[in-house]
Amino acid sequence: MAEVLLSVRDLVVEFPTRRGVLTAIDHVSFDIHAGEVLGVVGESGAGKSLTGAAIIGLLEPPGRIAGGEILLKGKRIDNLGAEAMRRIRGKRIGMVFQDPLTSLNPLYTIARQLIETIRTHWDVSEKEARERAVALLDRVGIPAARRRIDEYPHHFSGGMRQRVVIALALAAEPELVIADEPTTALDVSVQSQIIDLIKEICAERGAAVMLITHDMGVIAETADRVAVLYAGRLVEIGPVRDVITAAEHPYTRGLMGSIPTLTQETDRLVQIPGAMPRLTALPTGCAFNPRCEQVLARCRADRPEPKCRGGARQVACWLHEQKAVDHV
Amino acid sequence: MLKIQNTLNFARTGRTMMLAGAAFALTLAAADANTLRWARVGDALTFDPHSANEGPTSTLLHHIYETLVGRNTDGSLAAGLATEWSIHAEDPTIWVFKLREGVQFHDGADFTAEDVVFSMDRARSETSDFKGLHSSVAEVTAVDDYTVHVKLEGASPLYVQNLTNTFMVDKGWAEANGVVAPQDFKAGEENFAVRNTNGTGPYTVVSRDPEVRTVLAHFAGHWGDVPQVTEIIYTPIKEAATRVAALLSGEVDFVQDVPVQDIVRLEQTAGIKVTAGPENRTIFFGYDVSSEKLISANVDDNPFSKPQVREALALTLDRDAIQQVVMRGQSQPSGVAMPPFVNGWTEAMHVYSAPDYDKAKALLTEAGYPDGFSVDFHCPNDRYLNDEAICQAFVGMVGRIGVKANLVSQSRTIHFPAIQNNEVDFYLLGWGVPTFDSAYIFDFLIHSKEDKRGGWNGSRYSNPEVDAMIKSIATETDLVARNATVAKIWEKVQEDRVLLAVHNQLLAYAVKDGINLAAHPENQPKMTTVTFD
Amino acid sequence: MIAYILRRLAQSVLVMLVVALVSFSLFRFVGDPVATLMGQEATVADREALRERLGLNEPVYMQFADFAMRAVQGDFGISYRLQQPVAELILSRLPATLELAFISGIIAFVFGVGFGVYTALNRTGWLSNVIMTTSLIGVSLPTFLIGILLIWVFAVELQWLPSFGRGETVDVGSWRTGLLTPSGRASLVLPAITLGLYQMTLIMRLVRAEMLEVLRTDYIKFARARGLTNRAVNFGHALKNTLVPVITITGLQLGSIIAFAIITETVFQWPGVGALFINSVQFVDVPVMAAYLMMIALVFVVINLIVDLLYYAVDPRLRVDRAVARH
Repeated sequence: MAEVLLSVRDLVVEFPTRRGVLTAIDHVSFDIHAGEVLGVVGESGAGKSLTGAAIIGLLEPPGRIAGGEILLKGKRIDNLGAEAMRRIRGKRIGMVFQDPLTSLNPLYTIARQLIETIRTHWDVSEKEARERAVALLDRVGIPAARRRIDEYPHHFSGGMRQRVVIALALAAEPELVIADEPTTALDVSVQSQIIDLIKEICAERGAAVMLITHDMGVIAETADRVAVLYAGRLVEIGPVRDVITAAEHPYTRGLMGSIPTLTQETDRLVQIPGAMPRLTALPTGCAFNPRCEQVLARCRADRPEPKCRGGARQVACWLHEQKAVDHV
Repeated sequence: MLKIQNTLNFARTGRTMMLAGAAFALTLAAADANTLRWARVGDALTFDPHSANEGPTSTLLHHIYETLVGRNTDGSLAAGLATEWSIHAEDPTIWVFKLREGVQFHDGADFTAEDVVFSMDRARSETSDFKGLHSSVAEVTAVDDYTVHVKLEGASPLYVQNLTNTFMVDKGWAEANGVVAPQDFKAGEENFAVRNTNGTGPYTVVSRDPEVRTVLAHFAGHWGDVPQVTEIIYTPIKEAATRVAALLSGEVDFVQDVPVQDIVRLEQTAGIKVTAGPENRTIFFGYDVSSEKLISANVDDNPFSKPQVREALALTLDRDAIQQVVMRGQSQPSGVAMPPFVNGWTEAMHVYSAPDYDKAKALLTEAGYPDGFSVDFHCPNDRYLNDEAICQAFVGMVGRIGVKANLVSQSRTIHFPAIQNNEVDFYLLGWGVPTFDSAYIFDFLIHSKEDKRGGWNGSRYSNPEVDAMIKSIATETDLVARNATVAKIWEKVQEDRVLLAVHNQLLAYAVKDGINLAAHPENQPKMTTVTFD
Repeated sequence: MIAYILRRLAQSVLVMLVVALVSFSLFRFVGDPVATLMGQEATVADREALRERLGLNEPVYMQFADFAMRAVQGDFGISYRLQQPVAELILSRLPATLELAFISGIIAFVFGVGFGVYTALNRTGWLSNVIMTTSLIGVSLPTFLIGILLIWVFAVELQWLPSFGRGETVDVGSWRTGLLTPSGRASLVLPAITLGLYQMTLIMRLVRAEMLEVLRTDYIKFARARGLTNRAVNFGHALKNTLVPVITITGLQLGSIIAFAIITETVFQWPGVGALFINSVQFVDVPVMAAYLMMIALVFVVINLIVDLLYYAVDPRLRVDRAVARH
């Protein structure tokens, strides 16, 4: 396996509110290896986007990292100063947001935004930067890039804009790209093109991808490994094939049922009754216990920690602890 | 003051770059020994000497132009361009003026009788604002170079009093510049005399920026003594607080219109001196005494036509309270609508009685209004010192006997025409007496409305007997007999309570220490009278 | 484009005529000019004669038609009060007002945007709180009071700045400017602050609100995620987007500054058109009032036009001609 590019260790993200401190990410740990695609799935509010924001250092105040560490190639980046962190953003970790329609500054041409980004990270001339920008646009599949580079975002369609966004995120050749729901806002017809583009272009440049989505289908097609988040906690992580074929956490199994097939389009997570609890009202023990069909008494009392389940898999569930005990 | 002089030099040497604008010295140092920086509320409207019969205009023009006779600070007549004046020994309708000799206009022309004839004709012309003062003049003739006869349509023993603001211009200059007549608005062209001057006065115009700054310098060819003030910088400052601030900050030396509320404070300020004196202006309430029915009252008759009601109103008027509370002591409460300078004034009429609300209420009941009545009460809000506040105070006073006066406070531009057109029932008005004679009050306020008289008789008082007496004093040349008639008219006016007098205005000048200037009854101070310590 | 501007200017003539018509129908409520034009000795007949001469006895629409006919030819008549041609009077006073309005507009804009950006970027800082609180006081005090307060502190107590007037002026062509002399500039300080304070507060609060809004947008987050410097993000991206709506308001405020300079000009005895107008109202100087109101209408129309063009220059999305769908 390739070297560990990014390592998240016991990450805790908190939001102080008037009614007390909310723990939005609760001791989450995972690694991303160089060149791999890690899918991060979970329902809205599970903490997927926050994890991405924490990694790239753009948590919105009052949110803050309250514990754990984030290491990029073995060096801590969660405690870096603002300027040092800025230099990492774009250059070493890139990010693609959900909505291409709003990710681009409407008042500036594509050229200006690309050139500005390139010149922030590379010491190149305006002309050189422009050449690179045209090449990038060309690479992400913008036809007539040399001409269209001087147009404004509103001249582009949604899919084209997301290609521009990808070009921008990759402009300084980062080692890791965090793609936060990159296709949710797009037309279904272009979704897979964009996902393919991200995967392809990252593979080409050796960049790892952290693909945040709630769509297990996208994960199944794209990711090498998948991490499942629930209520700010990591419930399961492992190679996509293993997790899909043999999900061990009841929540993950529920998610698997939501993969749309060619013949039927199911509603997301329809298989799991109930809804994710609010962070203000988490049950004791396993956060999933009120919805779990296989809930044990212990699940209501003690919180399960992710445990290694052989190979690269980890699961946080008392069910398997129980089994493990049985086996002994 | 160096800057100012620079300004003058620039202007005089006629460089293309002209420096102008308000002068100010940020230093506290006293002004140049012979420069006086003078601020007042408004500017002269025009320099045309016969175009605007308006206080500030005449005040400033008195420094540039001169009149045949002037006014001393005690109200008496002073020799001006005329050294002697008298009624012709044989014809009482002719006034004879002996002119001062050796007087020059600023451009060097000699001042002679033909200039007087020309000026009088100009002042009497259609577009002159002074023609009303000379409507009784039949003809003005030059007897010789320094004697002028003014022939009137009838004998007029006090006509000379009308001349104190009628300025003399140079005939030759006026003709050469096409300003034989004052500004005609209809003509649509600006008159040369609006901005250009050529008088005989003690000062000449150095620069003029209307409503910004006017600089006058002493005219070396003037016939009089050289005044201590040899340069005047005149700056209008409309806002009262700013005007006072400019004095306190040392940017001006003399503030003419001191706000009543600031007088006491300025008196206590080190380095500032306040000179107060009575002004020739009386404030009174008027009411419609003769109509059958009022316009705005809630009763079907006219309460003001009943003597008991007028007496009741007089008994509610607490003049002392208005003086103390509204005017902060800066007024002279009076029982008669006439300033003390005026011929005909007596101490007996001046005395007023204390309010008596019980008696007033009883009188009102006796007149048939036990529950009072309501009526609109019109008041100007931009003409007299605290005019609106006086009205508000009186509304409260009459309210105590059940008279509900609904205050209608308006600009003088609406208030005055309404009075002249008999459109108001009950109002406040002020009256200055430029001729210093009671006839001026009778003619405009007491006489029935007819062609030339009664123009401001908003009371609609009409008494044929009184009218006849008023007409008689216009031509009575026996001054003793005339004064007796004046007294008789006043007696009737007071008895009928035609006007409800409130007070005479006081005026206050604030100057820097070391500057002496007496208050002028017509509020027309002359900088030639200023002395420095 | 040219056609558009011409069309707008043609509309403005119409707007101005309507303003003049409305003004004329209102003037009779201001009072009777004859009351101030003649001394108290004038007889009824004298007044009537003058009224006739001035055409005041004509019906309002006739007076208006007469005014409009002459105004179209650039003749606004003679001021009743100052007896000078109105056009000349207004033109001679206009530089004072424009300089004051322009400088206070700049003060309002620079400080408004500066404080607005600062308070948006430092939402919780003590200085932000001080600025916000002070601005609240500033906006709730009447202009008149602020002016007097400034005069009292800086002219009377400290004696740093003059309390009234325009200082020394220099004529550059027909433009009388106070900007070229030290005393002229010193005289400008207090009135410009007084006049600009309200607008500054307004702009500041607007900028702050817009900026906070913009800072929450995706493109700002994305700009940060690309590692752009704070300066580039806050001033390059956020500020420009903030300024789009601010330009409209600020532009229109410039019109208000000129129109509402009346109070400031009165307090500071500033010889501008505002002071001229207020004096004219008190005198019922109909020719000046009419011309002034038409001028203000023109100012608003022109500023509106400039704002539209600016808006168009700043926001590419409005350039419809190029935006023929190309995807």
